[in-house]
Amino acid sequence: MTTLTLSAGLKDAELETESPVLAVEPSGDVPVEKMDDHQLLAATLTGDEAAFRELVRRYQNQITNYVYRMLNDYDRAVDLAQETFVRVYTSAERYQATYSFSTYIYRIAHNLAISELRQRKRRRLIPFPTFFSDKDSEEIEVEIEDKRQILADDSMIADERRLAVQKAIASLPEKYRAALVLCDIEEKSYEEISEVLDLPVGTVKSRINRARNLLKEKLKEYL
Amino acid sequence: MNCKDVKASVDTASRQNPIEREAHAHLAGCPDCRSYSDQSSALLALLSAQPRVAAPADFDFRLRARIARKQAEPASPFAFLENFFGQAFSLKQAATSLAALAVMAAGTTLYFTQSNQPTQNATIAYNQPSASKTMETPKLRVEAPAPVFVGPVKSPASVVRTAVLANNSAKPMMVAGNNDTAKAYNRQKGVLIAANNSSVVYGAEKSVSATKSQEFIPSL
Repeated sequence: MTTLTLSAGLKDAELETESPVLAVEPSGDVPVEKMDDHQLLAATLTGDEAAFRELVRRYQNQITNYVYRMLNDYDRAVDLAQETFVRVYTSAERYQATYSFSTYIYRIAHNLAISELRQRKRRRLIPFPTFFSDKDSEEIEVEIEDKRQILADDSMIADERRLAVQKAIASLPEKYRAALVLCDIEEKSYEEISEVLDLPVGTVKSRINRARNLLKEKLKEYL
Repeated sequence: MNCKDVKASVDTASRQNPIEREAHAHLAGCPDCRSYSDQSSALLALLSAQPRVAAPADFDFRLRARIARKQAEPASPFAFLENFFGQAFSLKQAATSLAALAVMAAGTTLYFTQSNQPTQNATIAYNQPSASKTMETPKLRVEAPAPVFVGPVKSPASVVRTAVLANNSAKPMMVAGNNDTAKAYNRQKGVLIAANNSSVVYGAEKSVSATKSQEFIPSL
């Protein structure tokens, strides 16, 4: 097994171009559905389009959902999810198997989402939920009306609640949002989140706790 | 477990890490902690109830088209620069580097400016020894050319200027640069005054040390 680090396509991460490449041998006759992620990527390196398609099938929804939760913008989320896979494909030879492929691809997606948020901040093209962002904390106050008594229909109440939660998540500072989404929506372990965000586990726990406390304040009428 | 430990356990609980068993026992008998735990559980339930968005049906098709497009497009001649600056530097690093370069440039300029000024032991020749003592930093402006310069110029650094003092009396001044010699004519004595390295000749001024405090000496 080679000693490899996450690098491909990571704009903010350092590239180690001289690192050894993925050492996993593509499995010859094994159908792509039964290959693990490393095998699929190794097969992709040999030009196996079906292997790459299988990787895309496995992760496209997860990555799209994660980026969507970070940006609160579906079209851009799809665009960045595609860019994530483009980077995986074009940098497959630099993939390093120290971490799981899941961690690797989430990290690429996370970096792209963070870059997008920073560009928006610079361009001041921030969508509504983060439009009133505070310069320092990026935290905004979203007034969530309690329309439960007006909306008799249960499904409408549920929709309203989901919308309130969505807005509350989008209003979190990005560093808290990323940790919370990975933990409580993507259901990643603390260790995986630590690897994706490149932070110590203690910091991850602290951020998640902070994010939850902020959400409790914002959503107290729904708790 | 005390209340503090239980709340810490509740805070770190997730689907991956459920609340510890000892904490459950405490929760059964502590209304305050139970309320705290219920609120956290309700929040987690709200979050997990969030619908997941899915990639569009044509995601794979669009992705393959995008990859094909990317592979087909020729590499930009500046791609390596974009790559280098995009990956090697963050905005903060770039700003810090520019600031450091600016400081270095300012320091270098200051160094060379200082080293071109006359030294402490420079010779001052004058043609009116009785000039008053008040030579300190007169306000002057510099005009060219000097009417009394007659000496050969051995180097472009030899420059003659006419210094106009505060009382508007124009006085010739000659400054010889490093490693050259220039001469000025003293009308009263009828002789040529030679100026050597870093010498300064003033038409009708008192001799003073050519130090940095002579701010009226124009820059060459």
